[in-house]
Amino acid sequence: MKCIQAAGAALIGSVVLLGGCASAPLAPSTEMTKAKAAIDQADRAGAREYATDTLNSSVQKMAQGQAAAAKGEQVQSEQLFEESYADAHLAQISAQSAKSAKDAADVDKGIATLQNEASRSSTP
Amino acid sequence: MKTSFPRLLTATTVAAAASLALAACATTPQSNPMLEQARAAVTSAQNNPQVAGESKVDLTTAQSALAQGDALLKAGKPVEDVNHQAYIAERFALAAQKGVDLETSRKSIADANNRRNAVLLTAREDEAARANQLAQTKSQELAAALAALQASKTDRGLVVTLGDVLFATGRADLKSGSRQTLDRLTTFLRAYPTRNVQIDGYTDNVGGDDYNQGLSERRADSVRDALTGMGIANDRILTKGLGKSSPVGDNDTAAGRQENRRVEVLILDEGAARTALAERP
Repeated sequence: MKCIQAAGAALIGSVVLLGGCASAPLAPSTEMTKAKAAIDQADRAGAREYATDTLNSSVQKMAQGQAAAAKGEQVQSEQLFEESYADAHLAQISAQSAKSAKDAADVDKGIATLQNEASRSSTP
Repeated sequence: MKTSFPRLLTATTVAAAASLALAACATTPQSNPMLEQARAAVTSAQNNPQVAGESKVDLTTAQSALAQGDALLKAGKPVEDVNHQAYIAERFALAAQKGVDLETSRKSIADANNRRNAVLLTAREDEAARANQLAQTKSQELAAALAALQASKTDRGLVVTLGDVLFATGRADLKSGSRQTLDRLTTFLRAYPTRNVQIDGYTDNVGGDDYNQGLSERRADSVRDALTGMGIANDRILTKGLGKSSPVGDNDTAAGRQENRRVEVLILDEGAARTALAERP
């Protein structure tokens, strides 16, 4: 029993050691912070509803970037964070644009109604 | 010998061409599909003249990423790095285009009040023009109706006078000759249901006051009865007997006395109608 425990501990130790040797997990980078903030902004802009795919891609790239960072893959993680940021930025503008277009359409509809009422009341 | 020289030349030429072709293959970077896709997006945004402000910033980011991608590709760097720049370039180029859409709808919303006001202003102008046209038409019609009525303008307003000749001497019933004047009055009162009339009866100074007062009242009533008989509502008519007061002619002459024996129909103004009729006992 003791023998097995010792062997197990040694095995775990060696795995940790090996992992440590391959690469150390990276500290949160500015790219990651920037991308996270952009995702929050996109979310607040309504991207979940209006730019679902782009926001999903951003979140996915964030997760991949974090996974890469955990493995110490600096270049790859930074690229993924940058791409996550680019997605989030596009998602935010797309959502704002879609919402704004909807509002504009409502406004146009209101004006068309007003125009209709005006021309109807002007017809004797 | 004569034929071997050109053959040798040909062989050399082919070899040179082949090595050149190989060299070209080695140094010319392969095209990268993601980079080309990004280039298409960037070009499209570049060609959009509405890209401005924040969109312009995004376009610049896209252009810079595209240039980096091109440089990496040319330097034979790993395809992942080229693809990364292509990804950034395409996303920002798309963001620049979306930014233009955003700005367009924002402007449209901001301009909504102006557009709304323009619609309302046009409607008001149309309304005013129509009201003006209507008023003009009505005023022309009224003028025509009054002309047809042959009313004369006096200090008291528009007056239609039914002279003595329409009544037999000392009698209050109308002669048939008054029909035309009464028809004109009826037509007018039907066309202008808000215009009311005051019928004043007068006499000359022959006879006692009581007699003349009574006669003037009966003459006024007689005209009223003729109008109501033609369908004009009784409450639109006010009658007054004024006896021998207010002569218009000289009572010392026969012609003057004839002028004084009369009934005057006063066409009341729309505003004055109610007030005048309220005085009715």
